[in-house]
Amino acid sequence: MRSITVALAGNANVGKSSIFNRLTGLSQHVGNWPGKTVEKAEGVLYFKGYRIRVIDLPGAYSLSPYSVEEIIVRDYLLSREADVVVDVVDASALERNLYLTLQLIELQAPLVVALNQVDMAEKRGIAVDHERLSETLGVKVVPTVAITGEGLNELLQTIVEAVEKGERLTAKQLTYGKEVEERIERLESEVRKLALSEKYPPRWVSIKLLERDHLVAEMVSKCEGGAEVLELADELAMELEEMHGEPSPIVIASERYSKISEIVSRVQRVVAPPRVRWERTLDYVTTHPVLGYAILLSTIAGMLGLVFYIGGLLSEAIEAYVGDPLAEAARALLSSSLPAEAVRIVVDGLVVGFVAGLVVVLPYVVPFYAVLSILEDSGYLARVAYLTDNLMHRIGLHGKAVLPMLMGFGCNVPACVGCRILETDRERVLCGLATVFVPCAARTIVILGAVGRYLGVLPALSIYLVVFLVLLMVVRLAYKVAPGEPMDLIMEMPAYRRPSLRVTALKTWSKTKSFVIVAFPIIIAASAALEALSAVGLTEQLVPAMAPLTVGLLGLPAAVAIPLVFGFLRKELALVMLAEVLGTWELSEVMTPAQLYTFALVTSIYIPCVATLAALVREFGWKRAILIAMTTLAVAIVAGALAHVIAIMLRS
Amino acid sequence: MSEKVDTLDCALEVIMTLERRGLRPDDASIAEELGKPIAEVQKMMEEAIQRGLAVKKDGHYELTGEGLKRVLRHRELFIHDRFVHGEDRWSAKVRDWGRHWRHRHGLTKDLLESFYKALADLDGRVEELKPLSDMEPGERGVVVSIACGLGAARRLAEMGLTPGVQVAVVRKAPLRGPVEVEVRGTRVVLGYGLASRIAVKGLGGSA
Ligand SMILES: Nc1nc2c(ncn2[C@@H]2O[C@H](COP(=O)(O)OP(=O)(O)OP(=O)(O)O)[C@@H](O)[C@H]2O)c(=O)[nH]1
Ligand SMILES: [Mg+2]
Repeated sequence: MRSITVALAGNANVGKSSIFNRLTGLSQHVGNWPGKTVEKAEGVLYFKGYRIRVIDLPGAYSLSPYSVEEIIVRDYLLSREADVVVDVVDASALERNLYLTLQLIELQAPLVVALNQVDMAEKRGIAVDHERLSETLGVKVVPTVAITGEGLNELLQTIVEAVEKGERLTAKQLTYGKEVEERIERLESEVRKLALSEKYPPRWVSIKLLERDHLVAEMVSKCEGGAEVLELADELAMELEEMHGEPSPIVIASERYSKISEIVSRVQRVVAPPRVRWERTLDYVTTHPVLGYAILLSTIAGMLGLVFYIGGLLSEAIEAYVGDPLAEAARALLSSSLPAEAVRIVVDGLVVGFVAGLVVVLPYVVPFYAVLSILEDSGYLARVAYLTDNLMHRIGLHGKAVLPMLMGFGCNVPACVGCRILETDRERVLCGLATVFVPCAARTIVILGAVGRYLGVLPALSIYLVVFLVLLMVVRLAYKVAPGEPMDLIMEMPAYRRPSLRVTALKTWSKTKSFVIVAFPIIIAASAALEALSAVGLTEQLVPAMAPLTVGLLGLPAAVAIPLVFGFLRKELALVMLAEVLGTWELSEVMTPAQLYTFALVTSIYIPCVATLAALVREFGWKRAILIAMTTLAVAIVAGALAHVIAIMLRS
Repeated sequence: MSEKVDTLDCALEVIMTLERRGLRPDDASIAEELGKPIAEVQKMMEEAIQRGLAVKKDGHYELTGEGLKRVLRHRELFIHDRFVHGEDRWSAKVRDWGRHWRHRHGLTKDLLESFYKALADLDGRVEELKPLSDMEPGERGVVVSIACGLGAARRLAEMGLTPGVQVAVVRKAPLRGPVEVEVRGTRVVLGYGLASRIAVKGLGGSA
């Protein structure tokens, strides 16, 4: 079977991953904000006897990278591994999107354009003549709607046909204005003599040199005769600068855009007034200087309240109809055939662990993911970034940093990786530090299960508030330690969109699935391990050893040492283990309200779970990862001790 | 701000602008551009001629080499104070401008050259420029120059904010928050610091 490699490239938030998911049946992260995909992803599909390898790339505005995820795109496209590059273009923002297309044409990539989001364009009264666009650019253009899958068959058909006919999909070169074009040609004739021109099109190299692209300049300098070429390039770039009074990268960018304006005027027409009444209203209120912040706070509170409410209902139902009967049945089945010790390990360990996962974890996780997904698909997250840009500057970051942090609500692991959308190393680390403080789904379970359930929703919400204040203080402190001018926000603002039910359902399902696959075995194994450990008496040693901390400083029951240690594996495990070591799910019978509060607070803050730690190590290296983890540990102890002291003061 | 700007500089600026448009600046047309009474302009121009900044030939004015230099310096100071430091009259403290641009603002020699070139080529009066961050929601304008680091300027250009492009301010967040602009059919949010370094010539708007 013949194999084709197809890469999906394009600006941020145009629908690359949506197309990828449709084609491969996988579930890459989609949502309505720029910068979700930060790593290359791969999938396979079979079509008309071909094995098609599809590569999903992060979004990029240009082949001159500005942040880490754009480096990935550039490196991949320069590796020329793909047989076909599908340039996914947002039809409702054609002008800006064609900027990358022009660069792909310069690079002579084997190109097919997917004119995506034609439904959105139509809604805004914009009609794009795809046939004309195809003629003008000299590449194949296929209109698509990724969320319904419209046009994707044609896209595949086009790709396969081209490959079958052995067509070279490289577009004819576009010519720029005379001043620039002359200089490109002069430089090109020199670049042709370099060894590099066998690997990359000389015209592309020339344009990049005129643009003063460092990476290309470096490649050229390594070639024999490269020094002279660089000298000439510098001279020509300076001529351009002199003529236009702008740095040459800006001159070239303007040049591309003037070409694009020409193309757009030929292929795009405004045919009707935009139909965006409710979007505009929503946009207005959610970014309003007063209402906007009120809505932001109530959205977070409402989200947690809703999750708490739905989760509580589900939890009760599952417990009554599934959990209890299951434990009883297991006990009855096993007690006759196995020794008492083994029954304890199996029933109290395995079965109770499984039931705990079912009753305590699942009911909260599912609505949480669903609500988060709806928020994310609407486009609200980008508004939050706009609203909080100011606040973020105080801690040395900018509004975009809020995006990975909000992702952290779901899970800290992708959130840490998501910090790649920030521009400097310093900001990425600060953002990583901020991210691990964000209460993820697992910590939400602990907060809701230990505090929300026994003390009410408001105290639970107050933990979030405390954690956010702590986050701000810690990151601000870190910013003071590692100072530097915060970068300025540059972010595309996506239009509001009605979240698609299908996408939400699929996303919730796939996240829940992976949560269950990862979390259940750990919860069950840990429950069994706990029973086994206490059977051999190991827990009796750990508990007193940690007593000065747990009892002395935090005022918690001594047995809490065990859930805290297990919590390092997964945060929700802390809650499950707490119930198991205390021997009851009615936590309020064995712990005071203050103890429950302190426990939830400490669990929310101290050391991120193993998976997050691994992500931190991968993104930031050992040293910084350990530093971040230790910071959270110290902060958790201080916060817990303070909560304890305040509780004592309130009582007396 | 405007009252602090030397009116003589403004008058010279007007002469240069009118010359550029192929017009012959005389007392009446200068007065009209400046919105000042003719008598005042006449007095000012006498002083300018006395100081060797302009000459009068058959009823209209021309800038001398000195005058041209002065206009360029005025533009440089204006851009510097208004866009780069974002506060008034910073320039009073600067002695060596080339050095200041290079050391304090990190402009390379090439960039500085192209900056001066842009000043000389400016279409219209420099006082008409204002930072993007000072525009009101609904207002439209044309980007004239972007006085930030090359990295950010490049990214802005790639996202469509090139010199000469039309932008409209959509909204501004309070307390020096970010500015959302519409450019080339898309919306882009810019931090306040960045927006205050983008010089725009207002076109009025449909607020
Ligand atoms: N109406 C409409 N929405 C679409 C279409 N394609 C994608 N979307 C939506 O656009 C948003 C962005 O889609 P993604 O697939 O996540 O975009 P991406 O290009 O992978 O984005 P990054 O990974 O952030 O660069 C999501 O909310 C999608 O549901 C389309 O054809 N029509
Ligand atoms: Mg994506």
